Amino acid sequence: MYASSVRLQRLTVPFAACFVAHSAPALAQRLSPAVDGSVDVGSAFLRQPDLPGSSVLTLAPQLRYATIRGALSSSGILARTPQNRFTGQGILAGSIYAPPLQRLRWELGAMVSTFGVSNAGPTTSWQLLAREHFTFESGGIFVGGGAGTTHRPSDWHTSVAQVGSFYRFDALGRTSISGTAAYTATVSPTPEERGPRYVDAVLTWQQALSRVELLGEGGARFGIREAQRAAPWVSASVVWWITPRIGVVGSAGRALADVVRGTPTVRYASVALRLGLADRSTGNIPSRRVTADDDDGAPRLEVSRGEGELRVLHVHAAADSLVEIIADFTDWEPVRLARDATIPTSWTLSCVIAPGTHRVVLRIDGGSPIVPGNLPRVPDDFGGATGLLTVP
Amino acid sequence: MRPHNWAASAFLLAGPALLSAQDDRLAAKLDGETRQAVMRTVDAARSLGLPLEPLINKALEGATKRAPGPRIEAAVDTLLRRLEVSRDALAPSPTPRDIAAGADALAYGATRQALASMRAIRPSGSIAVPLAVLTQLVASGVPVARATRVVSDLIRRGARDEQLIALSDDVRWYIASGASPEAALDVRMRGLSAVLPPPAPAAAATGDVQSPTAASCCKKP
Repeated sequence: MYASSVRLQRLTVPFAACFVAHSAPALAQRLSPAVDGSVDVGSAFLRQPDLPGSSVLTLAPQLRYATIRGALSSSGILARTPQNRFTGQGILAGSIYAPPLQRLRWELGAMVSTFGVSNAGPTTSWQLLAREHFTFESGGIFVGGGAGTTHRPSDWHTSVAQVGSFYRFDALGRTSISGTAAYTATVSPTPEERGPRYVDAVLTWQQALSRVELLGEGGARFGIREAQRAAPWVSASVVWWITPRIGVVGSAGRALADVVRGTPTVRYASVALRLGLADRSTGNIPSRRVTADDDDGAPRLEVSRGEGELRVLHVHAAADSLVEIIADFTDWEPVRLARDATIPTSWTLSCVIAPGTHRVVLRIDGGSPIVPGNLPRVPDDFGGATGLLTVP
Repeated sequence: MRPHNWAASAFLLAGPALLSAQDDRLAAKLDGETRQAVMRTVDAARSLGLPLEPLINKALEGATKRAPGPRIEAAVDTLLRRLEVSRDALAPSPTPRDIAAGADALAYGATRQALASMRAIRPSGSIAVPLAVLTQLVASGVPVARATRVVSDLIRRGARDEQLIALSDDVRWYIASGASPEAALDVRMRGLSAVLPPPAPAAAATGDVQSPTAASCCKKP
């Protein structure tokens, strides 16, 4: 969980832009408003160069709201040391995008952040950015730039230019990799002090399994003015969702210093309990179909390959006790699906189904047959309607 | 007898036993008069070397939906004609699944020429899934000619069945979100075009389907 704190540190200047860039494609795919958030409660072990290690208690909330044309996210962390000292920071970022259904999409964004420790005034930052995204089915690239100011207590001015790309390894985006290169130039408030200039290279890998989310990041910072060695950093985190809304988060890594904001290099390891706002039974899989079809509350039916000729039918429906499928491959007899032991809205059935077109309806709790909301609804030959399912 | 493959032959060789089982299924759901009419159609299909299961299934669907007997008979007869057209269009070696998928495509507006052109692009192997995707696209409102051109183009470029299904799902999703069917298809095609190799020169000349053009897959927004 401390990873979120460290990430937040890096996000402020200049990496807030990277955060939004990575989020933009996914957000752009959601055509309806989506709210997600979590609160992490845990502890972290920190070690700074030339200092003994220390343990802190942490509290880290996050909240994100996304629509087809924009996104707003906020996150923060509060850490308390055994000496009863506090460190707190928060970030608020928002972006608006060009209309979807275009290969090229512009993005305008803004971010504000604050960072403070006990008995000291806070450091505040803001940044504006503009970016152009070029997206395709499995990924995209972006290029852009931004500028901002950090007040500590005098003003440091920062400008950023960046280019990056991302790639999704599967249609649902459960596995993805992204890379960003960003040039940062800082102007110090006093002529005697030269602001740092450097290039950051960042590589991020994400994977979402049914109950586990993995995140690995690594990068290096290359100084421009001084001939110095590249400063590497790396971080990794794992979220294991015990229930659809409760998970355990473990993370470890090394974070670089932020000269402008006055934060040091630190190594960390943390563990926390995460309370999620959204139901992870669907929310942790960024399926385009999930969001759209959840809007009308209609049940959804999806099919995936099982072993050999087996196909696995997945129904997402809010049913009290019974979900049945009635289809050509059941000889139009109702067949019950099994409810997932931990995800009450998830029902499955494994059976042999021939590849091709199939006609199907669902029956929820013994009610009237209905067409799954995510399937094309077509008239049958008998005055009713049926759904068309394509089985691979 | 018209050309058919080994699977169709198996259907024919096992015909009496299968028909008995099918008759049992029908007997449990249809009245005597309707069952006899349906079995006459099934017998006709058997003599033509057509798959029987889609016909039985159509009758079962009608019975489950409590359709009147004459309506069930009409639906089964109509399907028989579609199966025959599909089999001919997909010659020389369609599988029963191909024939059934082709009949479904025809039911929603695909043409015999469209089926033939898709077969020409993939002369061997099943095209049940591409035909199913064609059916879904047409059922989602994409014009038949456009849907045929797109699916044919993707087959020619080596798209996997899963990619075709994902395309269809995404198009449906965009349509549900307010996009026009053609705009939705444009967007998803651009995506798939970016990850697929260009068509093989030899394959591009097959069939009567347009080869990939800037208009169909690389149009700027």
